[in-house]
Amino acid sequence: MSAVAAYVSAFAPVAGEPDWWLAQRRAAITAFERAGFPSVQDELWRMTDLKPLTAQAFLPPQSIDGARAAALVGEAAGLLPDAWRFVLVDGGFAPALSDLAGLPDGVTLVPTHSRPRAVEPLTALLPDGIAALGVAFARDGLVLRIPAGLVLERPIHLISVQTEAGRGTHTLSRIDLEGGAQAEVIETYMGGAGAWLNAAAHVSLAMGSHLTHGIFVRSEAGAQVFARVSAHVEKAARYSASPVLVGAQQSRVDLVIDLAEDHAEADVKGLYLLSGTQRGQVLTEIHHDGHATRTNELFKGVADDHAHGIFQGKIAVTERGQKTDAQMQSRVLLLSETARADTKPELEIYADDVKCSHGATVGDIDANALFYLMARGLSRAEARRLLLRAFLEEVADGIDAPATQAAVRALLGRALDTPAQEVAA
Amino acid sequence: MLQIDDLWAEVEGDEGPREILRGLSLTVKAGEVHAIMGPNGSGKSTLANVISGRDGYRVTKGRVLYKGQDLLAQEADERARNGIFLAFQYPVEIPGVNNMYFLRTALNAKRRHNGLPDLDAGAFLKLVRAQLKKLSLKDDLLQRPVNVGFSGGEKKRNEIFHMSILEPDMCLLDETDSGLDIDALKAVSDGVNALRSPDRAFVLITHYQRLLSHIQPDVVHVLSGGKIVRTGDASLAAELERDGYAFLNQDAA
Repeated sequence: MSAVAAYVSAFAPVAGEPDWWLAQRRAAITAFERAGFPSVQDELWRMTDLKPLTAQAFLPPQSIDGARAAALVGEAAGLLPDAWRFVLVDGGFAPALSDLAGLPDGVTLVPTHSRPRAVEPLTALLPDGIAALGVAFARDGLVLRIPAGLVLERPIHLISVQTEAGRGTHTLSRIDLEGGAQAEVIETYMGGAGAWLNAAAHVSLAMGSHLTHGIFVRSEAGAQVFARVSAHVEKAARYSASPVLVGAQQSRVDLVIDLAEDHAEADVKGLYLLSGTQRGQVLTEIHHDGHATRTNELFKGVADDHAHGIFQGKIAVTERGQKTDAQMQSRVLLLSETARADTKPELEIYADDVKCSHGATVGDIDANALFYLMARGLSRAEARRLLLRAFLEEVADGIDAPATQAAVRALLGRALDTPAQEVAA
Repeated sequence: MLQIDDLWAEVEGDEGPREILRGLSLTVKAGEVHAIMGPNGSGKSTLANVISGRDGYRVTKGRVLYKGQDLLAQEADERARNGIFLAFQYPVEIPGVNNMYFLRTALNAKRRHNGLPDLDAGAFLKLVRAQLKKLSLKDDLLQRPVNVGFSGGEKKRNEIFHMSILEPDMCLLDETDSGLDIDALKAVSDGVNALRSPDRAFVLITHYQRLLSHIQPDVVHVLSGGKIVRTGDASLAAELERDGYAFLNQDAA
C-alpha cells in the first residue's frame, strides 16, 4: 500500500470530536488524497528530501513512553527555566508535564482540542498535501490569546515531544495578540528517532503588538520535523521569528509573514547548525502590503560532513508597499568539502519607492583566526568551536527579547558542546 | 632552549611552493634575547611561522629542537601549550570572541596541559587587572572582541598582554614594532623587559633598530636570503641602523 493510501485508510473519527471539526478533517483527508505529497518539481519542495515521507506512512502514535517523554521535556525545559510550559506529548496535551500556574487574568492558553475553531484559518488554507495531511490528523496544539495592552512577564514555552519511533504527529496552533500586547513564545520540537513531527501555526498580531517567536528544532537522529507558520501583522505591530535548527535528520521551517498594514515589521533571526547527513531548510516569504513596512532578516548557517543547509528567502512588495525597507542577509560556513549550502534570496517588487537589499555569502572558517587561537594554545577543535559560536551568536545578539535570546544561546552552547562558562566582568 | 639546524622551508603559494629558508641555523639559550634583523623578503616572518607551526609552510630539510624535543612534530596548539608564544605582526581581528574569555580559555588550556587546575574567574580577573595596569591598557579591551576595533598600538599591546598572562618560555615577536608610535613602542618594550627572566628566551624579529634601543638584545643576527649571514652583539644593530643593509649586496657581488 502506498503511504497516501495508508493514511487514507487510517483516517478515523476521534471519540467526542464535534461534527463540524470532523467535517474539516474529512475535507482535509480528501484534499490530501487528491493532492498527495508535494513533488520535487514544485519549486518550494525541490530541496526537501521527500523520500522518507513517501516511503512509509507515519501513522498516529499508539502508546506513550511516559519516562521518555518526561526526560525529553526536562531537557527542553532547561532552555527556558523560567517560563510557562505547555507540553504536547506525541501530539496530545500533557497537563501533568505542563506548568501554567500564575498566568495573568485574561490570557487564554488552552489546548486546541478545547477550541478547534481557533485554528480555522489553517484548515481553510491548505497550500499542499502536507498541510492537508496535518489538518486531517491534527491531534492538538496550543491556543493562545493575549488581551489588549498586556505585556507577558515570562515567556511561554511550547514543548512538543515524540516518543514512539516511526510515528507521525500533526499539531495545529493559534496565537493571537490583541492591540499593544507583547509576548515571547518559544516552540521546541524534540522528535524521537525515526519520527515525524509536523506542526502548523497561525499568528495574528493586532495593532502595536509584538510577538517574539522562537521555533527550535532539536531532535534525535532520523527524526523529520516540519513547522509552518503563517503570520498576519497589522498596523505598527511586529513579528520577530527565530527558527533555530540544530537537530533532526531533516528539518524544515516555513514562515509566511504578511505585513498587512502600515508600519508593520518583521524580524527574522535564524540559524542552522548541521552535521552528518542532516538536512535543514528554512523558507521565509514576507509580503509587504502596507505603507512603510520593514523587514530585517539575518540567517546564518553552518554545515559540516555531508550536511545540506538550505535558505530560501523571499521578499514580496505589492503596489501598496511604498516606503518598504527590507534587508535580508544570509551567511553560511561550510566546514567540509562534502557539505552543501543552497541560498536563494528572491525579491519581487511592484512598488517604486522602496529600499530592498539582500546579501548572501558562503565561505569557510577563517584560517588566520583559527591559527591565531591555536597559537595561543587552544586545540583545533576548541578553536573551531569558539569561532563557530562567535559566528552563530551574532544571530542571538540580534534578538531583542531577553528570554528568547538566552534560550538561543543555551541551545547553541549545547549543540556546540561547550561548557557554559561565565566570565566575570 | 631552541636549536635550529640547517633549516630549509618553503611556503605554499598559488603558483606552487616557494623556497624561503635556505639553511638557517640558530641557537637560543634560556635567558637570552636575540634580535633577527634583515631586509624585507629575507625570511623573517617565515621563520616565525615555521617555529609557531602555521599551516602552509613545509620544512624540506633540517630540524628544530625546543627543550630537546622535535618541535616540528608538534601541532601549533601543542607548541603554544609547551611554552612557545608568537606575538603576531598583524594580530587577527576575531568578531564575536570576547578577549577575556579567549585569554582565560587559553590560559586554562595551558594550565591543564601542565597538570594545574583551571583558574577560576575571580583569580583570573585579579591577574589580568594587575597586568593591564602594567601595560597601560584600558579595562574595556577585555570585554571587546579580540582585536576588533583596536588601534594598531592597542593590538600590539594586547599581544604583549596575552604574553604576560600566558607566561611562555620562548617568546617570538614578529615585527611587533611596526606601526607603533613612541608611547606604544615604550609600553610594549617595558612589557617585554618586565618579562625578561633567566628562564625565558626572546627572539625579536625586526626591521629597524628602534625597538632595540628599548630592549637590549644579547645577540643580533642578520637574516638574508633565508639564512643568517652575520651575528654580533647589540652594536651590530646600531651599525645596521647607520649603514643599512647595503653590505649584503656588496657581499653578494
